[in-house]
Amino acid sequence: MNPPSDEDLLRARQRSRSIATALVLAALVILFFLLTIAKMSGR
Amino acid sequence: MKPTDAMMAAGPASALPLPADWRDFVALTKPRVMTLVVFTGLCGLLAAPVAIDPVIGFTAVLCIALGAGAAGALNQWYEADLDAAMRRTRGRPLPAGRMTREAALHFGVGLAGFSVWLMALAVGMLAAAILLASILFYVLVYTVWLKRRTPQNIVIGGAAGAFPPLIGWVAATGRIELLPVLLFAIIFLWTPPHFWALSLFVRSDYAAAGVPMLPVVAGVRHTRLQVLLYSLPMAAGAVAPWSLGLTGAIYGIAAAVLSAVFVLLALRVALSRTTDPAEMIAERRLFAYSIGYLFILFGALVVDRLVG
Repeated sequence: MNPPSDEDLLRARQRSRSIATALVLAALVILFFLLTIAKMSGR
Repeated sequence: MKPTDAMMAAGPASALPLPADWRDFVALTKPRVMTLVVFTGLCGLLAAPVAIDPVIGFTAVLCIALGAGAAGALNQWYEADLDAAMRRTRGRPLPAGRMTREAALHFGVGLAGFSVWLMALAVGMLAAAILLASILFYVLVYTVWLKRRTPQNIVIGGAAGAFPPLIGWVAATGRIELLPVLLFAIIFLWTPPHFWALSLFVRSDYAAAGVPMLPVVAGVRHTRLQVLLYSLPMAAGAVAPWSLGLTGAIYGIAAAVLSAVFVLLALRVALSRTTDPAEMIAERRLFAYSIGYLFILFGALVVDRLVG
């Protein structure tokens, strides 16, 4: 089996960063939704 | 695209820039330090005599964690040269060449701004203002101003790590009171013996990097004495919330016993005569105990407030 090329490494790194970013954004969406509910029920 | 540190980190044969891994961004936030920051912040929040909405409470603790992470990232951005000179820190993302300084700076500033903005929006302006002050204090006062200039860097800089319980309390109550100020004082007084115990057995690292830590500037013997001297007001400060009637017996007894052991271990450090870092058992023991000390002390405070 050939070792991964530079481009393979780059793509793998970009993919893992994209997944991490997507997960963070999804968590923020949920957090802002829950905060909105908490603030509204607080009133 | 201009060549970057990350390109060089990928090796001379690499034709493409390799961006930093997401794990390196996590490492930039000093997650181990953050554990203690989050825990003391959470304890400050739980010890407050006010019920807080769980979502807002969670957000407050998250903001404290993100603010601490931002401060850690900016610290590593500024100290990349020092970290490269020290065995303990040369594997960090910047000195190891896995990340560009520019990426670390952008990440740190962005995270700091976001944490303060979210705290102001979701929790309150006073909590956000203290969070901002703590980040600025750690980055500007400790990292930029004091650390490379004076052996008192840890004494004054210790205030940066003392803010979390105050922020947690203010997040819940919206005001500053005596108990959270005492919690601030406990961590402030705990920091010098905690860090000097560490710096005693890694002093060659600090000396190699040119950091004027107390053992490097004033010697091992003087530092050991200072460890003991600082542990005494720290112990008094730890017991103060109980003696002032702000907490119950659970916290009071825990604080008295834990602090007595701390002073005893500090006394053993003061009496130690070894100069070989490998044989500094008393210093290593005090350093390890000091971490557990703060965890258990603040845990006891929460138990005391919840039970009492």
